[in-house]
Order: sequence, then C-alpha cells, then structure tokens
Amino acid sequence: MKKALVFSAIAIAAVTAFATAASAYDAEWKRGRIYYRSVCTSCHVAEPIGSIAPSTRTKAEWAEYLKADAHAKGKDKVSRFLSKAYRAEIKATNKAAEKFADVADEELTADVAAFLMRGAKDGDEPASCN
Amino acid sequence: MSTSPSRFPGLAEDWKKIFVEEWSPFFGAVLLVLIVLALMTTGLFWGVFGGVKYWGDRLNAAIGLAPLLGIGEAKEGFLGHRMSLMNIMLVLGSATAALLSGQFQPNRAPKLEYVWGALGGSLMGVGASLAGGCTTGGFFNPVVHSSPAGWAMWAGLLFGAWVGLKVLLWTLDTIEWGTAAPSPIRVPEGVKRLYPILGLAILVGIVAWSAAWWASPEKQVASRAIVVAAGFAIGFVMHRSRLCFARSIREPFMTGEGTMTKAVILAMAIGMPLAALLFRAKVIDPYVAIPATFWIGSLTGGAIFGFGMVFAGGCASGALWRMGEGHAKLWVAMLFFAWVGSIASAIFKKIGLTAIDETNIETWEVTAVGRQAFLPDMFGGWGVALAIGFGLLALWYAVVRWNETTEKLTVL
Ligand code: HEC
Repeated sequence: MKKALVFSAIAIAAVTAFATAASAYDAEWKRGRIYYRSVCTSCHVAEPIGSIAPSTRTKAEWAEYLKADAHAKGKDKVSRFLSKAYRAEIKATNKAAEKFADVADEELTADVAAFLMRGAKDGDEPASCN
Repeated sequence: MSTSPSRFPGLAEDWKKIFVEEWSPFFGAVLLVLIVLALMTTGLFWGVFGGVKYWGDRLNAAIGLAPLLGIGEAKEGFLGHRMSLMNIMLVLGSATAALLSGQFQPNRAPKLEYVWGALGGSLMGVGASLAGGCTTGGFFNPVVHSSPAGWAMWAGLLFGAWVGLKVLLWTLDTIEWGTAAPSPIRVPEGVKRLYPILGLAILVGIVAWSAAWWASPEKQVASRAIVVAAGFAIGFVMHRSRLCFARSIREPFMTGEGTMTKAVILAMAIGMPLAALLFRAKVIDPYVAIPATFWIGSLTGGAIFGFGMVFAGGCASGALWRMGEGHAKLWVAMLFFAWVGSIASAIFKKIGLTAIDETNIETWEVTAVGRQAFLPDMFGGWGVALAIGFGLLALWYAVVRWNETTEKLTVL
C-alpha cells in the first residue's frame, strides 16, 4: 500500500514535468543583466545620476521607454548604447562590451528588455523574494 | 466524527487514517517534493527565509531601525509578498492538520526554553543571511537544483548541529534556572470537540480563497493562488508526517535514529532528476533559486544555522509548522529568527559580504562569500552533476544507516 502510493506519486511528478516541458522562458535575460549593469548602470553611476533600478518602472513603462528610443530627455538614443558601434567604441575599457562585442543589436536589445521586464515594478522576478 | 460506521462503513476508519494518524515520513517526503516540483512548473519555487526576513524588515521598520540599516520601504503587504504569504499559509496548513487530528495544543514551555528559542532563532537568522537561505533555500533547494551550495551548507549544518548538541548537553548539566515546566494550558473539552469542525472550515475557506484568486484577471493575483494552495499543502503535509529538516540533520547525532534523514534523502533523490528535466526543458531557470554563496557563505552560514536550530528546536519550515501546532517556544524562536535575520542581512550587505558584485560579467552572480554555482554548468553536463548529487546522497545514507546500528556518531 505504502509502496503503491510512493510510486503513483513519482509517476504524477514525472507526468507533470513532461506535460509542462513545452513552455519556454527567455534564457538571455542574464546577458541583459550583465550588459545593463556594466554599460548602462556604470555610466549612470559615473555621470552621476545614480543607478536606475529596473524596479523604478512598470513593464509597460519600460516597453514604452524602449520604444520611444529617446534617452536622457531626448539628447540621444537608447539604441545607440545598445549598438555594435557603441560597444566597439568602449570595448577597450569595458569588459561587458568586449564580451558581447559581436552580438547582434536586436538580440542584445531583446536581452536588456527581458532583464528590465523581469525586474520591473510589476515584473515576476522570484529572486527578489530574498 | 458523527458519521455512523454502520451507515457508511469504512469512512470513519479512512478519516482516521488520513487526518488523525501520523503519516509515514517517507510518504510526506514524496508529497512534499511533488508540491515543490509542481511549484517549479509554474516558475515559482519554495522558500522560507525570504518571507521570514521580510517580517523582520517590517519589524525593524516599525521600531525605527530600518533607516539605520538601510532597509527600504516594503513594496508589498504581508499577503502580497510571495514568500511571506507562503509562510503564513504553511502555519495555517499545519494548524488545520493539527485541528483535524485533534493534536492542536497551545503549549507553554519552561522559561529557559524561551531563552534558547531566542538564542537559536537569532543564530539561525545570522546563518541564513550568510548561506542565502535556511534549510529550505540554502540546503534543500540548491541540492534539488544541482548546486553544490546546498552540499556546502549541508556540511556546515552537520558540523554546527554536532557542536550545538554538545553544548546543549553541557547546559543540561549546568543550568538549572528556568527549567521548571509551567502548568499546562487547559482547553475545555467542549472547545476541543470543535477542533475538527474548525479545521474543516479553514480548509474550505482556503480552497475558496485560492479559487477566487485563481480566477482573477490580474496575472500576479492569479499566480498568488498557487502560492496559497502550495503553502497550505506544504504545512499540512509537514505536520501530518512530522517532516523536519532539523531532525534529519540532528537525530543521527542524538539518538542514532535515521528515519527522518532517510525521508529527506528520498525527497532529494526524487527531486534532483525531475528538476533536471524541468531545467533541460527550460521550464524554469535553475539559477533563480541558487544563492551566490558557494562555498564560504554556505559552509559558515550552515554551521551557524545548524548550531542555532538545535537550540531553537526546529529549522525554519519545522518551526513554522510547530507554530501552527501551538508551540509558544517556536513563536519566540521565529520572532528572533526574523528580527535578527533582517538585521544580519542588512549588515552583511552593507559591509559588502553578501552584496552582489555588479562588475562581474559572468552569467552567475558573485558575492564576497561565494558565487552561484550550478553543477551542470561547472562540469559541462548532467552526467557528472547527477553523479555527484546521487553520490553524496548515497554517502549520507550509508553513514546514517551504519550509525543506526553502531551509534558511533551519537554524542549522548
Ligand atoms: C554615456 C553614459 C550613459 C550610458 C552608456 C547610458 N546612459 Fe542612460 N542616462 C545617462 C544620463 C546622463 C542620464 C540622465 C539624463 C538627464 O537626466 O538629463 C540617463 C538617463 C537614463 C534614464 C532615465 C530617463 C531618461 O531618459 O532621462 C534611463 C531609463 C536610462 N538612462 C536608460 C539607459 C539604458 C537602458 C542604457 C543602456 C542601454 C543607458 N541608459 C546607457 C547616461 C547614460
């Protein structure tokens, strides 16, 4: 009886695991995190406007911000800081820019966006529980 | 219950088997790991200390210490904070199980026990802050997530519990103050008879609550419905099977008895490979539940936590379900666990011990006391990772089993 219960429990777990295996998560938010910290934040801290935490905006606000592509009150563009050209410029002094020197612009933009969404005010970052 | 056995033979018997008699810890362990895996399929994971620390943060805010410690204002309420909610549900789940079984009993302890609760709880707070979690978040989860951080904390816990038991034994011989048992709290029979009905009422209420949130159009509220149900179920299962991580670590040193240890080993042996499937299928990111404390933070934090939990009389989850059963000592231990846990976390962060190194450009996080470590990434695949995990489980089992007959490791 006890054994039967144990085995049925294991079976249920296995089924659950396979049944949900189809849904995927965005794996690259970690690359976005590295880039945001090392390139975006390090400049914000140096400027010095201080670091801008992802949790200062909601997901919708971040999406809107990235879409508008007007950085620093319109002085320049966010996309510039995400571009290969910019990475090449700062590569010599920035380890993250060097590491991701050859990543396509769209990919890196998506990565940073994924990171911002996760950490947004209404984002679902389980790690923030700690 | 009033159900007449003649009208529905067997019902009363089954009721007793499920809700009154104690479950096998092995059955409890399997159910627990099922709930944990079910949580993982929704992108969540089981944690205790995050919620406990949140309570401590709120306490520090209330007494005005928060600004000094650099603790920010709470963004969520007690029921909005995911892990706080899960802990509250764990206490409720255990209380419900205790009520249904008639084992609910408000329980006062001798004075000295409260001192030990406060001391043990405080040390648990310090240890969990260093190890990035309690026995759940620092040990159980990382082991199931194939992180060596869990094993580092395990080694620390064993050492700390061993030393703690030695010291506790010494105090038994030397300290007499506060050991007199207080008069028991007498609950009128009439009230006691209501316990099962009260338990049923809470159970129905929780199901309704969870269902209502589940139906919410707001995604975050809907996902909290899972937390409500899972936390409640964990508390219920842990109470019924009296599962306790503290006992699994401590008991072999105390009585030599290894049942609880074997139950925890079973849970991990089931959890590890199934979790591996979830990671491989990219259902959940393993790193979300791996603390950046491998190995110094995990090992030293584990030792401090292990020492503390022997005095407190339970690990974090164990303290929660015993709170639900009515033990006043564990409420005291939890209060100090939360309060000191909050203070220690803030201080360690401030002095740079556990603060995340933001200049690190690896995909894993790094702190001064260690890094996020995930065996499959360290060894390039699941083969070695699972071999290490199962190897250590087998070793733990072998030593505990051997000790059951030889009692070579007991300190009594
Ligand atoms: C070369 C330095 C520099 C880099 C690199 C940089 N920023 Fe900024 N950022 C600034 C400055 C300066 C401001 C403040 C402008 C002001 O307030 O006048 C700012 C402001 C902002 C703001 C506040 C709103 C606004 O636009 O004023 C956001 C959001 C922001 N940056 C996002 C980013 C992101 C995302 C990146 C990386 C992809 C980035 N920044 C890279 C210098 C930088």
